[in-house]
Parts: sequence; C-alpha cells; structure tokens
Amino acid sequence: MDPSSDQPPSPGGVFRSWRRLYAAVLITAAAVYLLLSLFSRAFRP
Amino acid sequence: MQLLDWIVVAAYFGLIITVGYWTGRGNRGLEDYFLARRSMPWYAMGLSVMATQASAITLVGTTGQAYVDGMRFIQIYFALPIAMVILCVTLVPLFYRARVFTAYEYLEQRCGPHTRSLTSLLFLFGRALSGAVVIYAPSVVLSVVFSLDETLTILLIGGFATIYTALGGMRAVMWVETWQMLIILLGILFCLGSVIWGLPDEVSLGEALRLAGSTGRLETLSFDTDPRQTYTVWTGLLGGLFLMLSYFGCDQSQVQRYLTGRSLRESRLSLMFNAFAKLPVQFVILLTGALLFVFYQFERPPVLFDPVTLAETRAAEPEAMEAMEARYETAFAERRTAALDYAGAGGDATEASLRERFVAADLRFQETRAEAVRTASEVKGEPWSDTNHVFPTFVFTQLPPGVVGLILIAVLAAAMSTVESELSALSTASVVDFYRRFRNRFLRGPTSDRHDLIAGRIGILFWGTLATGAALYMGRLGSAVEAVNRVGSFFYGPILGAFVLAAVFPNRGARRAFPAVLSGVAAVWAADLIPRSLGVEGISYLYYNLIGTAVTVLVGLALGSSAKVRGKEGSG
Repeated sequence: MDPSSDQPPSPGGVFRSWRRLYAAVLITAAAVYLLLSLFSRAFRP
Repeated sequence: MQLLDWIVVAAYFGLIITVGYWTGRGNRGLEDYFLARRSMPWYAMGLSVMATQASAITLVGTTGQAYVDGMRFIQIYFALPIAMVILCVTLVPLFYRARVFTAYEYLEQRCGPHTRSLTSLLFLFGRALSGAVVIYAPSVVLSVVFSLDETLTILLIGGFATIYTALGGMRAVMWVETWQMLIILLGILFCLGSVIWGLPDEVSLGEALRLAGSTGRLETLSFDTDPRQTYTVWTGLLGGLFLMLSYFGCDQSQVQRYLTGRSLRESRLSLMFNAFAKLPVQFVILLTGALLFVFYQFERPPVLFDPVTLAETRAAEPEAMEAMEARYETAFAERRTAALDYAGAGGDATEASLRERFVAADLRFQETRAEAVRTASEVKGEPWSDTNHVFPTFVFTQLPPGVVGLILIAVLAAAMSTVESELSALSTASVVDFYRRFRNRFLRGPTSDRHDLIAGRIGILFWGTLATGAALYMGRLGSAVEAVNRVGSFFYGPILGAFVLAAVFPNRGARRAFPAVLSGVAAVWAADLIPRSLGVEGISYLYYNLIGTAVTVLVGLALGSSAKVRGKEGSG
C-alpha cells in the first residue's frame, strides 16, 4: 500500500470495510462479556 | 527434569538461534535494524505484540492468582478490544504515515522537540529497570524449581536475549517472538489439558467447575462501585481502557511492533488479531488456575508451595509447623471427602447442605494454609506469598517427561520475548530520540547507515547489560528497583495525554504539552502518595492512567487557551 494514501485497502476476507471489522470486534467483545456472565452464573451455587 | 525435557529445552534454544540467525541477516541501516525494513505481515506482528505482553509472570503468576483468588483478574482486559479499535482509527494511521521510528518522534511534529525529549526520557526512565524485573522474576522461579543457581538462570535469560537481540535486530526478534508465542499458546493448552486429565475419574469436568464455582473462583464479573477495588467491571472498562490505550498506543515496546508493518492494513490487522484473541487466551490461563484449585482438592498440596521456604520455616519453627501440618492433613482429608460428596450430589435435596459442608471444609483448610504462610512471613521477616509457586509445583510434580520441558520452554519464551522487546525499544528510543538527533545537530552532521547500526547494537548491549546486571543485584536492590518501576507506571497516563493533545487539539493544547505532561505526572504522584501518607487505602492503581491523561489534557488546553488570549491581547 502507498503509505501516503488516506484509504488503506479493506481488511479482506468477509470484512468488506474497516468499519465492519471494528463493529465485529466490539460485538464479539460484548458477546464475550455476556458469555463470561453466563459462565459465572452457570456454576454459581 | 528427565532427559526428554532437556532435549525439548535444547530444541527450543536451537530453534530460536536458527530463526534469529536466518531472519536477522543483512541488516543495513536503522530502518532494517529497528523496524525490520517495515516488511512484517500482520500475523507475525500480532503474535509478537501478544508475546511482548505475556511475561513469565503472566503464565506462572496468573494461574497462581486464579488458584488463590479466582478469575476476577480477567476484567482488567475488558477494555482491550475497545482500545484496539480506538488505536486503529486514531494513532496507528498517524504513526504509520509520519514514518516515525518512535512514538515520541511523532510528538515533535505537533508539540515541539522538548515534548518529544521529555516523553522519550520518561519512557526510558520508567522502563530502564523494568528489564531487570522481567529477567529476575522468572529466573527466581526457575532457579527454585530446578534447584539451579539464581545467577545462572539470570545470565541465561538476560544474556541470551541480549545477544540475539543485538545481533539479529527487529526482524529476528519478531520472528523469534512469533515462534515463542506459538510455543506459549501450545504450553497453555497443554497445561489446561493436563489439569483436566489429572482430575480423579469419578469427577467430571462439569462437576469440577461446580466445585470451583461454589467457592467463587469462577466469578468473572464484579459490579462493585468501590473505586478502591482493583478487579471490577468499572475498573476494567474505564481504568483498563486508559491503561491499554497508554500501553499499546504510547509505549515504545508495543508501538515498535506495529510500526514494522508492511502496510497500514497489516498494522491494523495485527491489533485486531489481539482484540479478538487476548481475552480467550487469558480466560484459558485463568481457568487452568481455577481448575488447579479443584485438582488439589483430591491431591494433597504441600502446606507451602515453595519447598525452600517450607524447609526454612520448618527449621525455624519445628514444633509450630509440626502441629500446623497435622491440622493441615486433617483439614485436607475432611475437605477431600466433602468435595467428593458434593461433586457426586446430583441436584437432590442434600446438594445445598453438601455444598455448605464443602465450603466450610475449604475455609478451614484455607485458614490452616494462611497460618502457614503467616509463619513463613514471620520467619522471613517480610510479607511473603507462594502464589507464583503453585503452577510450577503442579508442573514438576504431576506432569510426564516431555510435557514438563514444553511448559518450561513456554515460561522461558514468555520471559525472553518480554526482555527482547524491552531492549529493542529502549535502544531505539535512546538512539533515535537522543543520540542521532543530538549528534546530527551539534556534532558532525548526518551519520552513515553503518554508524547507526553500530549505535543501535551498542544501545541494546548497554540496556541488556544494565538489566541483567541489575537483575543479578536485585536481592540487594529489590526495593529500589521496585520503587523505580512503581514511579515508572505513573508516566503512562500523562504520555497518553500528550498524544491526545497532539492528535485531537493540535492548534490549542499541543504546544503546551510539556508543562501539561509534568502536571499529569505530579497529579498521579499525588493520587498515590497522599492516601499512603495518610495511612488510608487509595483508589485502584488502574485509575492512575485516567487521572494522568485527564490532568495532562485539561492543563494543556487551559494553558493553550490562556496563551491564545494573551496572544490576542498582545496583538490587539
């Protein structure tokens, strides 16, 4: 990539734009918090 | 240690020497030596970033922490994905397009040369002796576990990392770290598998988790709003966000990793990889510790996990320890029976009472162990804990030959990867931000590639020798080194504040970043010192970065505004 360019190529794969990748990261993080909460609850007496 | 373990260790050293030598050939100038000619792919950068962050204490200390205290520690990483997205959108493109060698170099363009010198100096001061800690801490554990001389393990870790970092440069370091991280991940998976495998046949994984959960060790979320608590959702999301932004955005040892990317896309992807992978990895490490707790319900653990301290305490207090160990034996037998009964209870009416019996038996057992730890502390004459010995004790007493070697090289890899990154970052900052800059300006003008390369190597050898030397004298310098490290952590927030001023307020506060950073450091210092001098518990250290950043930005903006007003009055 030309480092002076303002628009780096998209991340590739299923992510067609950086915005989608960032959204996926944040949604995954939220899902992980939820899973951790469920995990703790499942084994809480 | 059996022959097979030594073969695994020898193979590890053979692998990193080969990878280091092969990938580190042909360095021609500083861009080669410090930034791998900006040619690295995202997966190597991503694994290298992860390896830099994972120290030996991550592997040994975190499992021990989960054994003793449960999995609440994971909350510290909650803000990591958010911080990574913020950095990918803001600082990473700025650094990449500015073609800088160090993060602080970028500040010169927006805030002036003094701010660059100040922030780089704060980094050097804060990190100068942390190399000693990251060499010393695993060396002590390894020397205790192997009954080796501490000097030998320090020289092995510090000396080896210094030599191949100096010879191979950044490309060698990053490819070595990529392999080291893969070894660490393999080691972590083997640990988890070994603990599950070691559970008695009559206890399933679900029952083991139920046992751990009944003592609160699987609690991952705490919504406690007390700011003095360190591991809560709020400290994780708010304090942790500023910690992660400061560490990944402004600490040269991390920034240097993603400056080596062959494109902005690769640099961003490396951080996204960490955003996805870090929490699951940390979860597995902590779960291993929590399951170790269950494993030691059925296998009697030593009353103290450090055999050397146990022998010393027995020798100093023979009668007290004998009586205590007899009580410990009884408490363990009672707890084992209670644990088996509770694990076998299948949701019937007796389950609640069996759980209560198990929790009460565990409490009695923990009290006896706490008594032993107190006696050991009294014998040593200082506060002492055996948290860091829990995991090595399991590895060396329970695991088969070969696997012991694998876990050992994972610990070695975690230790060495952190040392390598520290050394190359310290050398880059001292050579690029100070030596080359001042030599070019005041002495003989621009230098040749060869000259720069030699300066870079001398920098690494200097910092490596200092760190290894300080680690050798850590026994005597311990409190001084710890104090320097503690003060060093005060600088993260103010440095982040300088970057916020530079990136967000280039026309308002950036030119006043120098006094603003000093104010930020003073504010964090006060937040730490005042409660301690008053003898009260202060706020969690995770909030220090938030305070440092906020004060720096506010002071920078206030000074910038007043300068503008004065400027207008003067011109009007």
